[in-house]
Amino acid sequence: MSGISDTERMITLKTVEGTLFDVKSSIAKDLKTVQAFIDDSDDDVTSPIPLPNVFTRELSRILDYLNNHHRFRSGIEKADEEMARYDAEFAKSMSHEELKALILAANYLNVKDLLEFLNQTVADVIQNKSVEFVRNFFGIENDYTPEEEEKLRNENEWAFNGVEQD
Amino acid sequence: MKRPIPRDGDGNGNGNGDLLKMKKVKVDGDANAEENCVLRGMRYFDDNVLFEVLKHADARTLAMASCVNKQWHKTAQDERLWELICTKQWANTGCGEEQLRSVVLALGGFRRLHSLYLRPLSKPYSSSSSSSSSSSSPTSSSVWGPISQAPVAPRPKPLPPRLGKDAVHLSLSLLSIRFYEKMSNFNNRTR
Repeated sequence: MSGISDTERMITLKTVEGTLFDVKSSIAKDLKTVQAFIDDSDDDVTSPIPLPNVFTRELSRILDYLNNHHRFRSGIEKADEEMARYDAEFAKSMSHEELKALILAANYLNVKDLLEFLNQTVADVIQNKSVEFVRNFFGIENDYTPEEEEKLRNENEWAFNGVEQD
Repeated sequence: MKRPIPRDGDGNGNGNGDLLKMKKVKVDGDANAEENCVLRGMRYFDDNVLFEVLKHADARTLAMASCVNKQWHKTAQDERLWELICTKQWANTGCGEEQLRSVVLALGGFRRLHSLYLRPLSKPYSSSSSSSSSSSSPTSSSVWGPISQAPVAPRPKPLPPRLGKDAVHLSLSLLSIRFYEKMSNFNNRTR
């Protein structure tokens, strides 16, 4: 189409469930995986780009985050506080399952800022928690023998003082 | 077009079902969507993703992380993570990053540096060196400040105590001494 500037071009993304999302190309730039796909294509990308690893729930959250952050950045000054409040709400609104799923999706799509934020959030969640909590949170099997584990715990004994009760 | 879910035989028994490889997912009706919701976030935090998460962890969390399982142990031992922990704490050391890194790595690494020399310097003065003052109260952690109980909300992070140049140089000297002691012990034994 003639006369439309670059930032207004829309990209269509398709999730695993087949849901289509129309995304402004300025937002799509933050999805580095998608942007790389666009850059690598010789012609303009007109058909929906399939995202085989991304579910609707995650993509919707990611786009929500990006749209809001773009809004905060382009608006008046003082948006830092609003942005911090938004980020806090955003993190709180997710269960641990959703948080993990979002990290994996953001990792696949390579959304740098969101990933930093999510990683920090998860690190905060596991801070001062017990090993059992972490295993539960991530759904991890303990593959140490009791002897090995005891040895490790002794070596890192200082890390276990003042741990929060689960 | 339906594609079969490959079963991953990596031997990690997980009561919630087999590992769902993210790349190939069976796209079905809504019935499967729920199952996918449960499985997809469960695991498959590979080494890289885990590394990125642990980059934001503090020293204690990192040390605890090495007890979780073998993958976590391997990642939590990564010198780059401990380098971040160490350098976050100290002021300008007066020498370049690269230079410092090659010296510390040669002398035993950042993890040792932290656990043997930096950590004791960060603890507040206490009469008994074995008791950390945080063990007396369930919710306080004296070095790190009050911990908020809010789930999943980003906590205000208490800054780790800054170590001055002298403390840093002292730690580095002690690390070298330890290294050379070990080396001379080794030499004495082989004579």
